[in-house]
Amino acid sequence: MTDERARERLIEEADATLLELVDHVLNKGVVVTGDVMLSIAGVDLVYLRLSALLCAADLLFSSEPRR
Amino acid sequence: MSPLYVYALVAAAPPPEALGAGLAGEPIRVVPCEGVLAAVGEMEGPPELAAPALRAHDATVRRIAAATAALLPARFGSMARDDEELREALRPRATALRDALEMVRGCEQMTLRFAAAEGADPAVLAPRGALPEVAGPGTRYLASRRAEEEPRAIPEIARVLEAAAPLVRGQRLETHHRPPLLASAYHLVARGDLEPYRGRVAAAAAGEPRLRVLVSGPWPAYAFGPRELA
Repeated sequence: MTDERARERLIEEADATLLELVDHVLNKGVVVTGDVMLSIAGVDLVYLRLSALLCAADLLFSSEPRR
Repeated sequence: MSPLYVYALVAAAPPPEALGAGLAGEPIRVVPCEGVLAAVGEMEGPPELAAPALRAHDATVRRIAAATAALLPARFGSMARDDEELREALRPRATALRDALEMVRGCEQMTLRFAAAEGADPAVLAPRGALPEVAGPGTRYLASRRAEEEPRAIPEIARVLEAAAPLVRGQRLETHHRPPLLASAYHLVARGDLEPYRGRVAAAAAGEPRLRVLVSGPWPAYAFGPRELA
Protein backbone atom coordinates (compact mmCIF):
# COMPACT_ATOMS: atom_id res chain seq x y z
CA MET A 1 0.00 0.00 0.00
CA THR A 2 1.41 3.40 -0.91
CA ASP A 3 1.83 6.05 1.73
CA GLU A 4 -0.97 8.03 0.14
CA ARG A 5 -3.38 5.12 0.19
CA ALA A 6 -2.44 4.30 3.75
CA ARG A 7 -3.08 7.87 4.83
CA GLU A 8 -6.39 7.91 3.01
CA ARG A 9 -7.46 4.77 4.75
CA LEU A 10 -6.44 6.16 8.10
CA ILE A 11 -8.64 9.16 7.46
CA GLU A 12 -11.58 6.90 6.80
CA GLU A 13 -10.96 4.87 9.93
CA ALA A 14 -10.09 7.72 12.21
CA ASP A 15 -12.32 9.04 14.93
CA ALA A 16 -12.77 12.34 13.19
CA THR A 17 -14.32 13.96 16.23
CA LEU A 18 -11.34 13.14 18.42
CA LEU A 19 -8.92 14.19 15.71
CA GLU A 20 -10.60 17.53 15.32
CA LEU A 21 -10.63 17.95 19.07
CA VAL A 22 -6.91 17.23 19.29
CA ASP A 23 -6.11 19.64 16.50
CA HIS A 24 -8.12 22.47 17.98
CA VAL A 25 -7.28 22.02 21.65
CA LEU A 26 -3.59 21.17 21.26
CA ASN A 27 -2.51 22.96 18.18
CA LYS A 28 -4.63 26.11 18.30
CA GLY A 29 -5.61 28.27 21.17
CA VAL A 30 -3.69 31.03 22.83
CA VAL A 31 -0.41 30.27 24.54
CA VAL A 32 -1.05 32.42 27.55
CA THR A 33 2.17 32.24 29.45
CA GLY A 34 4.64 30.91 26.92
CA ASP A 35 5.08 28.18 29.46
CA VAL A 36 3.09 25.35 27.92
CA MET A 37 3.94 22.00 29.39
CA LEU A 38 2.89 18.97 27.42
CA SER A 39 3.39 15.46 28.55
CA ILE A 40 4.65 13.64 25.50
CA ALA A 41 3.84 10.30 27.10
CA GLY A 42 0.56 9.16 25.67
CA VAL A 43 0.94 10.97 22.36
CA ASP A 44 1.43 7.64 20.61
CA LEU A 45 -2.24 6.97 21.14
CA VAL A 46 -3.18 9.73 18.80
CA TYR A 47 -0.06 10.32 16.73
CA LEU A 48 -0.63 7.89 13.87
CA ARG A 49 -4.16 8.99 13.21
CA LEU A 50 -3.28 12.57 13.87
CA SER A 51 -0.52 12.64 11.32
CA ALA A 52 -2.91 11.33 8.72
CA LEU A 53 -5.51 14.01 8.95
CA LEU A 54 -4.11 16.81 11.00
CA CYS A 55 -0.84 18.54 11.38
CA ALA A 56 -0.61 18.95 15.14
CA ALA A 57 1.90 16.13 15.08
CA ASP A 58 4.33 18.50 13.41
CA LEU A 59 4.12 20.66 16.48
CA LEU A 60 4.66 17.82 18.88
CA PHE A 61 7.56 16.25 17.09
CA SER A 62 9.37 19.28 15.80
CA SER A 63 10.09 20.77 19.19
CA GLU A 64 11.04 19.68 22.63
CA PRO A 65 8.42 20.08 25.34
CA ARG A 66 8.63 23.65 26.54
CA ARG A 67 9.32 24.15 30.20
CA MET B 1 -1.32 28.88 46.30
CA SER B 2 -1.19 26.13 43.68
CA PRO B 3 -0.16 26.87 40.09
CA LEU B 4 -2.87 28.07 37.75
CA TYR B 5 -4.23 26.16 34.81
CA VAL B 6 -5.55 28.54 32.17
CA TYR B 7 -8.71 27.61 30.29
CA ALA B 8 -9.53 30.74 28.34
CA LEU B 9 -9.41 34.50 28.09
CA VAL B 10 -12.66 36.44 28.18
CA ALA B 11 -13.66 40.07 27.82
CA ALA B 12 -16.20 40.05 30.65
CA ALA B 13 -16.59 37.81 33.68
CA PRO B 14 -19.31 35.19 33.27
CA PRO B 15 -21.55 34.54 36.29
CA PRO B 16 -19.84 32.29 38.87
CA GLU B 17 -22.30 29.46 38.24
CA ALA B 18 -21.27 29.45 34.58
CA LEU B 19 -17.59 29.20 35.46
CA GLY B 20 -18.28 26.09 37.53
CA ALA B 21 -15.54 23.53 38.12
CA GLY B 22 -12.53 22.62 36.03
CA LEU B 23 -10.65 19.49 35.00
CA ALA B 24 -9.75 18.47 38.53
CA GLY B 25 -13.05 19.58 40.02
CA GLU B 26 -11.40 22.81 41.12
CA PRO B 27 -13.47 26.02 41.13
CA ILE B 28 -12.77 28.30 38.19
CA ARG B 29 -12.22 31.99 38.80
CA VAL B 30 -11.06 34.93 36.72
CA VAL B 31 -7.79 36.86 36.93
CA PRO B 32 -8.19 40.37 35.46
CA CYS B 33 -5.41 42.16 33.62
CA GLU B 34 -5.90 45.39 31.64
CA GLY B 35 -9.29 44.58 30.18
CA VAL B 36 -8.59 40.89 29.66
CA LEU B 37 -9.74 38.23 32.10
CA ALA B 38 -8.17 34.80 32.34
CA ALA B 39 -10.43 31.95 33.44
CA VAL B 40 -8.24 29.74 35.62
CA GLY B 41 -8.33 26.89 38.09
CA GLU B 42 -5.72 25.96 40.67
CA MET B 43 -3.99 22.70 39.71
CA GLU B 44 -0.72 21.12 40.81
CA GLY B 45 0.41 20.54 37.24
CA PRO B 46 -0.80 20.24 33.65
CA PRO B 47 -3.25 17.45 32.92
CA GLU B 48 -2.10 14.29 31.21
CA LEU B 49 -2.18 14.54 27.44
CA ALA B 50 -4.95 12.06 26.82
CA ALA B 51 -8.35 12.04 25.18
CA PRO B 52 -10.46 12.34 28.36
CA ALA B 53 -8.52 15.41 29.51
CA LEU B 54 -8.72 17.00 26.05
CA ARG B 55 -12.46 16.46 25.99
CA ALA B 56 -12.82 17.86 29.50
CA HIS B 57 -10.74 20.92 28.61
CA ASP B 58 -12.89 21.56 25.54
CA ALA B 59 -16.12 21.00 27.48
CA THR B 60 -15.03 23.49 30.15
CA VAL B 61 -14.09 26.08 27.55
CA ARG B 62 -17.42 25.58 25.78
CA ARG B 63 -19.35 26.00 29.01
CA ILE B 64 -17.62 29.29 29.74
CA ALA B 65 -18.02 30.40 26.12
CA ALA B 66 -21.76 29.81 26.27
CA ALA B 67 -21.99 32.32 29.12
CA THR B 68 -19.98 35.11 27.54
CA ALA B 69 -19.93 36.93 24.21
CA ALA B 70 -16.18 36.95 23.61
CA LEU B 71 -13.76 34.14 24.47
CA LEU B 72 -10.36 32.97 23.29
CA PRO B 73 -9.47 29.44 24.37
CA ALA B 74 -6.05 28.85 25.88
CA ARG B 75 -4.00 26.07 24.40
CA PHE B 76 -4.26 22.82 26.34
CA GLY B 77 -1.56 22.66 29.00
CA SER B 78 -1.13 26.40 29.63
CA MET B 79 0.08 26.99 33.18
CA ALA B 80 1.21 29.94 35.30
CA ARG B 81 2.88 29.83 38.70
CA ASP B 82 0.44 32.29 40.28
CA ASP B 83 -1.79 35.31 39.57
CA GLU B 84 1.15 37.66 39.30
CA GLU B 85 3.07 35.56 36.80
CA LEU B 86 -0.07 35.27 34.71
CA ARG B 87 -0.60 39.04 34.76
CA GLU B 88 3.01 39.57 33.76
CA ALA B 89 2.49 37.26 30.80
CA LEU B 90 -0.74 38.96 29.73
CA ARG B 91 0.23 42.59 30.27
CA PRO B 92 2.50 43.12 27.24
CA ARG B 93 -0.04 41.34 25.04
CA ALA B 94 -3.16 42.97 26.44
CA THR B 95 -3.84 45.20 23.43
CA ALA B 96 -3.55 42.34 20.94
CA LEU B 97 -5.69 40.15 23.16
CA ARG B 98 -8.41 42.78 23.53
CA ASP B 99 -8.45 43.20 19.74
CA ALA B 100 -8.71 39.45 19.26
CA LEU B 101 -11.55 39.24 21.78
CA GLU B 102 -13.42 41.96 19.88
CA MET B 103 -12.95 40.06 16.64
CA VAL B 104 -14.50 36.86 18.02
CA ARG B 105 -17.35 38.59 19.88
CA GLY B 106 -20.69 36.93 19.14
CA CYS B 107 -19.08 34.37 16.83
CA GLU B 108 -18.30 30.69 16.78
CA GLN B 109 -15.55 28.98 14.81
CA MET B 110 -16.33 26.59 11.99
CA THR B 111 -13.54 24.50 10.51
CA LEU B 112 -13.33 23.17 6.97
CA ARG B 113 -10.86 20.48 5.90
CA PHE B 114 -10.27 20.18 2.20
CA ALA B 115 -9.05 16.86 0.87
CA ALA B 116 -8.90 15.22 -2.52
CA ALA B 117 -12.01 13.11 -3.01
CA GLU B 118 -11.61 9.37 -3.01
CA GLY B 119 -10.25 8.34 -6.37
CA ALA B 120 -9.19 11.87 -7.24
CA ASP B 121 -5.51 12.40 -7.83
CA PRO B 122 -4.32 15.00 -5.29
CA ALA B 123 -1.84 16.21 -7.90
CA VAL B 124 -4.75 17.31 -10.09
CA LEU B 125 -5.94 19.57 -7.31
CA ALA B 126 -2.75 21.56 -7.45
CA PRO B 127 -2.46 25.33 -7.27
CA ARG B 128 -2.96 26.63 -10.78
CA GLY B 129 -3.21 30.35 -10.51
CA ALA B 130 -1.99 32.19 -13.56
CA LEU B 131 1.68 33.14 -13.43
CA PRO B 132 2.94 36.34 -15.01
CA GLU B 133 3.83 35.56 -18.62
CA VAL B 134 6.51 38.16 -19.07
CA ALA B 135 8.13 37.86 -15.70
CA GLY B 136 11.58 36.47 -15.32
CA PRO B 137 12.29 33.02 -13.94
CA GLY B 138 12.90 34.35 -10.44
CA THR B 139 9.54 36.12 -10.31
CA ARG B 140 7.79 33.08 -11.71
CA TYR B 141 9.45 30.84 -9.13
CA LEU B 142 8.42 33.10 -6.25
CA ALA B 143 4.87 33.33 -7.59
CA SER B 144 4.63 29.56 -7.79
CA ARG B 145 5.93 29.21 -4.23
CA ARG B 146 3.33 31.69 -3.02
CA ALA B 147 0.63 29.74 -4.84
CA GLU B 148 1.70 26.57 -3.05
CA GLU B 149 0.99 28.26 0.28
CA GLU B 150 -2.31 29.80 -0.79
CA PRO B 151 -5.28 27.42 -0.66
CA ARG B 152 -7.30 29.80 -2.85
CA ALA B 153 -4.90 29.06 -5.69
CA ILE B 154 -6.77 25.76 -5.96
CA PRO B 155 -9.94 26.79 -7.81
CA GLU B 156 -12.11 24.08 -6.26
CA ILE B 157 -11.25 25.35 -2.77
CA ALA B 158 -11.59 28.98 -3.82
CA ARG B 159 -15.15 28.38 -5.03
CA VAL B 160 -16.22 26.83 -1.72
CA LEU B 161 -14.62 29.68 0.22
CA GLU B 162 -16.34 32.25 -1.98
CA ALA B 163 -19.70 30.61 -1.36
CA ALA B 164 -19.21 30.82 2.40
CA ALA B 165 -17.70 34.30 2.37
CA PRO B 166 -20.90 36.37 2.90
CA LEU B 167 -21.32 34.77 6.33
CA VAL B 168 -17.64 34.74 7.32
CA ARG B 169 -16.48 37.48 9.70
CA GLY B 170 -12.93 36.23 10.03
CA GLN B 171 -10.84 33.65 8.21
CA ARG B 172 -7.57 31.83 8.68
CA LEU B 173 -6.26 29.50 6.02
CA GLU B 174 -3.63 26.80 6.22
CA THR B 175 -2.10 24.75 3.46
CA HIS B 176 -1.17 21.16 4.23
CA HIS B 177 1.39 19.29 2.21
CA ARG B 178 0.02 15.92 3.25
CA PRO B 179 -2.07 14.40 0.48
CA PRO B 180 -4.91 13.78 0.35
CA LEU B 181 -5.32 16.61 2.88
CA LEU B 182 -4.90 19.88 1.02
CA ALA B 183 -5.88 22.75 3.28
CA SER B 184 -7.90 23.91 6.27
CA ALA B 185 -10.05 26.98 6.66
CA TYR B 186 -11.05 28.38 10.04
CA HIS B 187 -14.05 30.66 9.89
CA LEU B 188 -15.63 32.99 12.41
CA VAL B 189 -19.38 32.87 11.93
CA ALA B 190 -22.03 34.75 13.90
CA ARG B 191 -23.88 32.46 16.27
CA GLY B 192 -27.15 32.99 14.42
CA ASP B 193 -25.65 32.20 11.01
CA LEU B 194 -24.39 28.67 11.62
CA GLU B 195 -27.11 26.82 9.74
CA PRO B 196 -27.08 29.11 6.68
CA TYR B 197 -23.28 28.76 6.68
CA ARG B 198 -23.51 24.98 6.68
CA GLY B 199 -26.00 25.17 3.86
CA ARG B 200 -23.79 27.35 1.72
CA VAL B 201 -20.76 25.14 2.27
CA ALA B 202 -22.71 21.94 1.56
CA ALA B 203 -24.18 23.35 -1.64
CA ALA B 204 -20.81 24.54 -2.89
CA ALA B 205 -19.07 21.29 -1.94
CA ALA B 206 -21.70 19.29 -3.82
CA GLY B 207 -20.57 21.02 -6.98
CA GLU B 208 -16.93 19.98 -6.54
CA PRO B 209 -16.71 16.24 -7.20
CA ARG B 210 -12.92 16.15 -6.99
CA LEU B 211 -12.90 17.75 -3.56
CA ARG B 212 -13.91 16.35 -0.21
CA VAL B 213 -14.97 18.98 2.33
CA LEU B 214 -15.17 18.01 5.99
CA VAL B 215 -17.04 20.47 8.17
CA SER B 216 -16.73 20.57 11.95
CA GLY B 217 -18.01 22.97 14.55
CA PRO B 218 -19.17 25.08 16.11
CA TRP B 219 -15.95 25.40 18.10
CA PRO B 220 -14.78 28.05 20.51
CA ALA B 221 -12.51 30.38 18.55
CA TYR B 222 -9.41 28.20 18.87
CA ALA B 223 -7.79 29.48 15.70
CA PHE B 224 -8.25 33.20 16.34
CA GLY B 225 -5.81 34.07 19.05
CA PRO B 226 -3.29 36.75 18.10
CA ARG B 227 -0.81 35.27 15.67
CA GLU B 228 2.18 36.27 17.71
CA LEU B 229 0.93 34.08 20.55
CA ALA B 230 0.05 31.05 18.46
